[in-house]
Amino acid sequence: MKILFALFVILFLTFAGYHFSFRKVKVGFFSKGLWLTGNEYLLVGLALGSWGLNLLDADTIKALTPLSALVLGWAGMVCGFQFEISKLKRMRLPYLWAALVSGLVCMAITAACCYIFLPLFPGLETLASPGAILALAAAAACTAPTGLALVAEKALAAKREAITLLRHIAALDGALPLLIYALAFTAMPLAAGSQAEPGISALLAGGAALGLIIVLFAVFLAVRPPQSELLLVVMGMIVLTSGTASLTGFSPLAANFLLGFLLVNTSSAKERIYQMLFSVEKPAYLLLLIFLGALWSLLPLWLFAGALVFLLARLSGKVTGLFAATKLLPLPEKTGASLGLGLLGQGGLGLAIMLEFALKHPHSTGPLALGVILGATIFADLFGPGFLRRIFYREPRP
Amino acid sequence: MSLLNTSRKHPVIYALALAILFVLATSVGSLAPSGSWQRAGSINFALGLCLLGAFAVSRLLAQIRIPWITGYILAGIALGPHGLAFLDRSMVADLKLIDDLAIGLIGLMAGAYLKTNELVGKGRIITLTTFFQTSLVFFSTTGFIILSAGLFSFTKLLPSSHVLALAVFAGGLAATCSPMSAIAIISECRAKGPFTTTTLGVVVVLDILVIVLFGAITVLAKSILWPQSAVDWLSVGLLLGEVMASIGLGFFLGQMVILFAGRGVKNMALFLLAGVFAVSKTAWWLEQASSLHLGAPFHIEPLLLCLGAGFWVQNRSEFGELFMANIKQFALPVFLLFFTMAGASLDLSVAAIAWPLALCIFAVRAAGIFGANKLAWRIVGGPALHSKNAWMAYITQAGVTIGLSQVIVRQVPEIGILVAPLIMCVVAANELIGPLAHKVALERTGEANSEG
Repeated sequence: MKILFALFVILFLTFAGYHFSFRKVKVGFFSKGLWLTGNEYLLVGLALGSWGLNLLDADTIKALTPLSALVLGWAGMVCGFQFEISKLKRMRLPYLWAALVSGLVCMAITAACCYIFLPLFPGLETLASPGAILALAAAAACTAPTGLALVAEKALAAKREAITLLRHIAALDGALPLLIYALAFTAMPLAAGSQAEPGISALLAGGAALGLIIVLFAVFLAVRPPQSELLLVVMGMIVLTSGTASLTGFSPLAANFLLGFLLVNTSSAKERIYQMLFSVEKPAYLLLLIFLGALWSLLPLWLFAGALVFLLARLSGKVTGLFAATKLLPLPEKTGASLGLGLLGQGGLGLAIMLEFALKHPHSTGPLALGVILGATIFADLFGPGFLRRIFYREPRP
Repeated sequence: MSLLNTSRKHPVIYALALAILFVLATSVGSLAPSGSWQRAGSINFALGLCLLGAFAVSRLLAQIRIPWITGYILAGIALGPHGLAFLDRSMVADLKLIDDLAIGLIGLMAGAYLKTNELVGKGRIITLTTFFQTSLVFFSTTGFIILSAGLFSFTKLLPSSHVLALAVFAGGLAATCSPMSAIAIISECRAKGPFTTTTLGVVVVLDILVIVLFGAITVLAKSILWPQSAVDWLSVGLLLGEVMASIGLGFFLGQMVILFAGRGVKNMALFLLAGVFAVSKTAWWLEQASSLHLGAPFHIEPLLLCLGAGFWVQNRSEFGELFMANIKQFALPVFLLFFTMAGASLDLSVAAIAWPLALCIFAVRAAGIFGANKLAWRIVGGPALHSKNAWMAYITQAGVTIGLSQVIVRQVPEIGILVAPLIMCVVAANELIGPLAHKVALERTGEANSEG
């Protein structure tokens, strides 16, 4: 019954939060970075979790598995839907490459920094494991478009090219890191006694199952189901994909990403599916934040130092990545290295990667890695708008 | 074009989908999970299998005019521990959370279907049908079990007091109907009209009446088993109070929904979902608190509460249509999972011993319902089509019946261990035949597919 109550509280807060955060409140620019990204729901999750009311303890979260799978699957599928080849073709090619280069460079720099510095802090030694490093690095590469959307209104006219570039990067930079993380995920050891095998076997099994699922989706969509049946089919496919991926040792998030990618490029029902996914975007995002908050560990206190290291590493990665892109690629406007500061907002895909990692490793590196990234997310959302203001609102030097 | 017509065009596609699901289930689903991550994955896999498998089975069976909910139940039986065992008992238990959600939403929908302006003029037929059906089904079933006890191995060796108590309980449970199934069929057939309203009215009133009478039946059975013990009238009064409180709280919840809707806030569906969970939580909390502080559990019935809320919103505000539209957003996945889980939960092993008597009770009950409806319609008068087909709408039994049989197991375990498997078999038969009969009745009266 505690599970029921927890689910009630989550749903109520999601609902209330959706209206409160996204509809009703008018706040200043600086606090918008904290407020409108839904960060308060990380804290609500923390209050509901074992650090607060303990409504969302480990057992309850386990019992709410279908809900977390739905949220993760939704995040993956929405991300996959952004990669519609026909639309990508209309994009300027340098922008696409800039997003890929920026994401990869940021991932590499963050991975290196985390590997070198995080084990220096007492209690964070286990974060040097390849799985945790890759998860953190992949999450670091993902950028939130929220801050850019907020700043764009006033600065659009003056810095149109720069904003367009940043928007494209924010939309696409998480894809390659997600796939790299997913490949690494298949290599992570499974629990003793598991019949699924890690590595190439997991990849093959997951790939074959995903192939069957895609055929299955195509079969169901072939009857052109009405909206109510389409909802059921999409829900069913998301949880089936997540379950199949978990059982075969593949990443559920990446599996749903691939499903979304294939659907958007092959299905005639893509618009209807996208509208459905989009209609629950905000409540689903807040649910994701609540789950993350509930799993957030505040100890050891060195986690906060780790969070700052991660933030600095990520910032360096973003700045260097964009700098490298501007040097290597024929971008329409030669932008300074400081433009990378505008990519500090932590993207939802990155948070979804960390939720998946924390759910897979609930007793070891998961909570620690989550503690690092959530601390960094709060810091990033505090400082991010300031950086954006610095880039877009400051008068150019004569 | 209706949903039913759409699905009729694609039997091959649904068969192909089932074949792919079967391949997935036998390959991926057969991987034994180890560790919490894979166990969580197996639950998700099972849930996905249920959603898509039951959907495909129901649409495939719709080709031969079998209602969707019968399809869901059959899919549940096939997927469950007594079928292909893709769902084991622990998974079924893990997915039980869905039941609480489903019962609340079905209650809201049932209440919203009852429009007072449409019920005007139907009070007499509803009252008479309820009265005759309760009494005829109760007495015919009870009488049959008492008279035929020596013929069945299930009852042959029981002492006469046990046979009497068993007969009284089985008779009482035979009088129940299933509002959930009725709503699911009405929703599936998009039925609307006087016949639909009347049958739904009867099912709802019957449900309330049987819950109230159940207290009296328990007292009667206990006095048969233990003639020396004092009659526990307090329990009867408490039960009556519980029903009144459930409906009253439902009206209060309905008023909250009206206030919410009046503020023009969107996403009512999410609010209703949270409300349904709040109802379940309140019921649980009240039961625990009353047990602890008053020494007796005070149980709020979530189905009745939500039914009251739906009724209140529909009849006391202008938001009835908006309310209904929001609930219907969830209707398909909720009905599908509820009835698939119900199918998977059916313990078919007990059928091996109880089925001969259960099948006879099924037939006697159906005859009782037929007679009761003939009598009621003859007295009131009305369209011949209605009087001829009404009985078919009341065959289905489901959650309420099983729930009450579990109460008997707790309160009178000596008889409960006999009643529960017997009733499970009767419910299984009624669950499979009832939706089909109800659908046929709606089609014959011309009210299927008449809702917008």
